[in-house]
Amino acid sequence: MTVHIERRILSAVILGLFIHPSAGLAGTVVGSRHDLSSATSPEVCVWCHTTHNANTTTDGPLWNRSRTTAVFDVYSSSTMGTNPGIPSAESLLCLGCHDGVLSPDQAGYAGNNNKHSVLNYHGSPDTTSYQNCERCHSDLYSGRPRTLVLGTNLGDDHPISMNYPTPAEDPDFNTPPDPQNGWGEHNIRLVNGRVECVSCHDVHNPDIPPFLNVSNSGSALCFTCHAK
Amino acid sequence: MNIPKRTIAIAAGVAAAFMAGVANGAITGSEHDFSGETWNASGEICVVCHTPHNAITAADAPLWNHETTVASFDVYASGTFDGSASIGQPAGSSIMCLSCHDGTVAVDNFGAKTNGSEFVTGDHLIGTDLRNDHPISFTYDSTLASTDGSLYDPTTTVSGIAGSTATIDADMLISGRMQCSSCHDVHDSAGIPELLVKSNAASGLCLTCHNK
Repeated sequence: MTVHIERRILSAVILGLFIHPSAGLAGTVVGSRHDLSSATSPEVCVWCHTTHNANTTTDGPLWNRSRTTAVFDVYSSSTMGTNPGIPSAESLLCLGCHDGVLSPDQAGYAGNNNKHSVLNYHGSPDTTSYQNCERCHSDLYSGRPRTLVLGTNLGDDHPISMNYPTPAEDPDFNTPPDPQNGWGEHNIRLVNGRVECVSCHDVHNPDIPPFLNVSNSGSALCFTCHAK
Repeated sequence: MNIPKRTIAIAAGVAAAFMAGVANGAITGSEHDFSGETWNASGEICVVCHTPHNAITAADAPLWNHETTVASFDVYASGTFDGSASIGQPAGSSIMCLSCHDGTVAVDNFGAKTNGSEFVTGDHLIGTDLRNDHPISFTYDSTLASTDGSLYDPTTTVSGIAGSTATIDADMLISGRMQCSSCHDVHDSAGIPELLVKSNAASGLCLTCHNK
């Protein structure tokens, strides 16, 4: 019982820390596809965050995973005004799972690059039960659409980790109200002026699938940036 | 950067439109806005041609999401056409246009779908016989203009596209070749009927290149 109470408290603390302030209004990661918890591994936040002994070599707050060491092929196009670099630290957090790369020690639990691995857990996350496997391997276990695997070839994905173009660099883009933050929180965000995964996606909010910051009805999300 | 300079002027107009409170760019509400079609359950516009993830990289278009045509085309020929040496099967961005307008690929064959049933019909159906259509994908350069004698030199003649002072070559050609996009803007940025890049009143678009 003590253990359960501690876990609840821990969960509450972590939720308080990491769910954004408007959680009461916006959606919650709890119950979303980013909620990897199950009956035998009941914590939610722990799959990415920890309160202690966090990985400080990544850009994620109190990060509880190792960073991906994959080498990525990036997007390029002759019609682009600015070019993406290698994925930035912020987007590497997402790619830590969505690159689909498993380390050679994928069969074991302890490997740091292992998608199954988190750095800290009270006890061990149950990585063997159907309920947990189904969270990511949903195509194999539940018949739901597969978790998005981008792979290490990002050449077929919208470019990330590039500076948002200035009007001089590419006139087919709208000018953001804030060159550094773009359209701001809960909208199309820039990270220090860069387009990253979080520009379109909110990892914690499933309300607008697939974890979009704003609705793309009528391609409104696209048109926030693209003047077409 | 290969972006035609005319887009600078167009974008300036779009930016002004945004400041004036217009919600979206000009593709919204255009003939290429399929967001309200029953076969497009997403309700989105861009998705019919583009996707942010898992795009078709073989296509000569950014983040392509539409099945591309593999048809064999009959190309334009004429005894008075001096571009025959460089004309071949449609190439470059024109393939993207023909991937709906040749009538061999369903308009709703985007994403992973390959069994669509919506096909371009009527005036918008170009077909695979391009012999009755203005030639595309041929090189239009100073040499051709000189050989033909009735074409303006694209490298020195301005396009006359609104707000631009750039040449035909810079504004209307892609790598020196005429394509569908030389006359048409798929995104309807200028808002001119038939998705033209400039008005054809008094045949102004034709006479941009043709010295008649």
